[in-house]
Amino acid sequence: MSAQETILDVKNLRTLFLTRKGIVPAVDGISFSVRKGKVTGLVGESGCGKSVTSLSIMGLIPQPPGKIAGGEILFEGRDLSKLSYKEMCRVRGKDISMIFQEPMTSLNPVKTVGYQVGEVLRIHQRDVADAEVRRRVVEMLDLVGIPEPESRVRAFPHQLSGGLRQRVMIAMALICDPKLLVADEPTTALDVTIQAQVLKLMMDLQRRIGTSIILITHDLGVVAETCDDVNVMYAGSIVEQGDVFNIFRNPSHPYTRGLLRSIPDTGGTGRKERLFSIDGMVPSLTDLPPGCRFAPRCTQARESCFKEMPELVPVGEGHFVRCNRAREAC
Amino acid sequence: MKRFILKRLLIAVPVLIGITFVIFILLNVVPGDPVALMMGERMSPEIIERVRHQMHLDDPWPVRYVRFLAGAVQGDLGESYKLQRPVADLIVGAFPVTLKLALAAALVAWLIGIPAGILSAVKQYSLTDNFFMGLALTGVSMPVFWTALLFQYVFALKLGWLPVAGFYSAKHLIMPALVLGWSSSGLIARLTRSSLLDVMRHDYIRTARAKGLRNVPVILRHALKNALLPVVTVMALQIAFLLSGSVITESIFNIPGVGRIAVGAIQNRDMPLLQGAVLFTTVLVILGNLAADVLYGWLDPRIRYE
Amino acid sequence: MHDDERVSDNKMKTPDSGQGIAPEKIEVKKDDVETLFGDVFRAFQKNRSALVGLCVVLFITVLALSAPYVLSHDPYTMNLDNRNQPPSEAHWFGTDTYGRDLMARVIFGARISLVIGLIPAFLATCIGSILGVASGFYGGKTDFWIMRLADVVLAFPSLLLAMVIMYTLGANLFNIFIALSIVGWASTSRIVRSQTLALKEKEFVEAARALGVKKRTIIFRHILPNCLPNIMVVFTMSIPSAIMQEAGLSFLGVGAQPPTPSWGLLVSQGKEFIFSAPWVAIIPGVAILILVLAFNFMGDGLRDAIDPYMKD
Repeated sequence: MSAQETILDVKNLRTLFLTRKGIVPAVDGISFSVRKGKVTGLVGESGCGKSVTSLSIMGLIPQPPGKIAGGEILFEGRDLSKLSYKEMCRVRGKDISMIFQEPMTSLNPVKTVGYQVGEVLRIHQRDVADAEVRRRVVEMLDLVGIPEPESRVRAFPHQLSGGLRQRVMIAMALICDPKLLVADEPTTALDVTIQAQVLKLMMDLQRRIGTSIILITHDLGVVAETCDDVNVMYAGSIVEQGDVFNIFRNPSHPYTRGLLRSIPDTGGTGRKERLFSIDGMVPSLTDLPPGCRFAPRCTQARESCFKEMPELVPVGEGHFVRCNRAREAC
Repeated sequence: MKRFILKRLLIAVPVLIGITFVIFILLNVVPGDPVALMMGERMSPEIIERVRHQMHLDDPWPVRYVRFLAGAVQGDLGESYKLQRPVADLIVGAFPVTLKLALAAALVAWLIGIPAGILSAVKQYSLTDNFFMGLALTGVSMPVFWTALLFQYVFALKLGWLPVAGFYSAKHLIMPALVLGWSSSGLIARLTRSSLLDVMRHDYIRTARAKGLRNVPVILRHALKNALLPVVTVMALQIAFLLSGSVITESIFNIPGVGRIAVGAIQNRDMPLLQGAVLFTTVLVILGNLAADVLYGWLDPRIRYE
Repeated sequence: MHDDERVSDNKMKTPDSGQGIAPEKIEVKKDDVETLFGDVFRAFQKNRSALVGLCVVLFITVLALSAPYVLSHDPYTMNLDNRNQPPSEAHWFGTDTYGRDLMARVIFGARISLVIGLIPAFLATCIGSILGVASGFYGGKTDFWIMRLADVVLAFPSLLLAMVIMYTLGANLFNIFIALSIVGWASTSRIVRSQTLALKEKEFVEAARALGVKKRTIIFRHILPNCLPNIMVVFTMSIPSAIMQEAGLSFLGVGAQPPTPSWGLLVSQGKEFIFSAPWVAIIPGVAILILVLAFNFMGDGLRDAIDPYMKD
């Protein structure tokens, strides 16, 4: 991963939420980078901080109660967390755009989809003519596979199905040819059959436009199909980092191994085995254990694991693990 | 959309029948004898009895109710005891005045309330927010008749800008409209604020921000229309509130509208006139509710394209 | 993002639900209930304007109760040589048209406004709650008729309906109770009904029904107690509107009758002299404003304190 081919470099990012019950370190010092034209996955259970990471990159953390307390978000060398509000507005939607989890609620119910897609163009290219906006919106809707795009521009969101709405969201995100696309669980809310279609569409477009993608998901199946690099997150920090082959062939963190074993095996063998599950719950972020955050749930934890927080250490070429027992385990 | 309007109309019908019934019961049945009330207690029983018979007041009340209803449908609300003129004529004559006052007041309320609500919501918990919301609550807490007197004292007596009372020119409308509008602007401001804050939490606002849209256009283009939808519904409540307020405002500023007719009818114990004025006003409220529903349906595409 | 917050929130409430054993779990629940009321109380306390409102209401109440013992003037004694006097050392608020001490009349008026605020608001809340629960719980025809009745009442401009009732019953203080109760119950019943409908679907109500608990018992044991916080808010909010309506009725001459020192009546009597002796009308109005504002602040604070728990 040399510097010239990375587009986004997150360094030691810390995002806090100030709540009535105390400070919640939703993202606690994570570092990762996104390579140009590649798909980087952020994987973890709900509550691990992956969505907060994506909103921090977009500068969309609601403040208050949220606050980026430290670290850098280097996008093409510029630190996004230091940009002014106006500068950030010029980045959002043009250089970096985002797809959200909920297609049902992420579109404005009282505006036509054509308006909502075209608005992105109008924001970032002031002098563009109405006819041109319309032409490109129709073109874009066609590109994301919406049938009859000429008439659908006048449709309201409630007249479209969930899958079509998510396609509209994708059209909206890609119409300005962004350099980076942040997709936060883009297929989770969709039917299983639609999920595969939407995912395939995203990947096709990614290859065509050459956009880099941060894909946030809890679904390792999706990761295996789409990602080049993977970051596994647990309780606000990254526990394992590497390319997709390392993670799937040689998972080195007990949590990653647990996640992989919890995928239902449909691959032909037909073994009647009870599905594995990781015991216990994600710890409360206001009341984190002093040692390794996964230790209370870890089957291999030793006494030392409860005392000291392990560092992220290399276990192979571009493969890092935050576990005291990483070296001996593999 | 057509079905939506039809459904609203169907709901309005039983309510309409209900109000005629309530008004009739309250004014005709409970005290028993409007004639005695009208003519005073010292009148001899024989005369009262004769008048009762002349006015068909000795019929059983269901018969009188049906007669009242049939008359009302044809626009016949009886004759005023005191003024000896058809009630319907008196009310239709006074209605444009009340309408002017109510519309002007509504305009004032919206012009004050909506911007104040938006500013408060945008700057939530700031000094501006606290100031406007404190002011709104004060506005809600000021009795209309007292505000009116205060305005008369300040703007008519001390400053001499506006006429004290009466209804002869547009200038005469300003003070009553300000008083009445002010009294409901607080409610509008509070509602606009809470509705806008609620809308700002929706996912599509985050989507709009993710597009790179700045705060002001996010609010104006994406939040405001959604936020004002519930405010439109309250417009219906406002109609009832403004008409209640106009009863007091009209009697203080001596404006010859329906509200002053109602107050005058009470003072003169003029039952048919009171009955007509109340019926007319309440029907107006129901029509206003209907209009607000239709407007809501038209503004919200989720209903419009059903 | 929402996901993250929600999950961490749950975790906060039951920190060790993972290895919890039965008795511990019960304790956790008890704690939760206590913190609910504790939180509401704390949230109310934090709301400074609500506290100020409460203090003002208490102050006015004490003043009204102790009025006969602390006032040097009687509110009914006329002194025709001393009419429409401006505020002075002897008469802090001045005197009214009949030379009566305005301060004494305003303070005695507070008694009326407080009683008027509390009793009709209480009656209206009771009627509205009972009808609302019945409407929501029994559904069907009961629901239909109660709600249509509420529609009818709400269709009237409230002051106009109260005026007609007062016209029919006759203008005196007691009839104001009746009129304002009749006018006020409808909005309460709608709120309580919708909450009853929501509660009806909750597991603990379903469980009670499945166990064959009598309907009336379910209403009084399970539904009403859970509606209580909301009913409290509605009650607090309807006090100021009752005070305002009484003032309006009395101002128009269909409420309290002279020489009762009702605030609305005081303003009405003063309005003739608004240009020569403005204080006679202005001061009682200020009194209305202060009391109503104090109740409104209180109601707002209470609603804000209770609201987060109403959503779930």
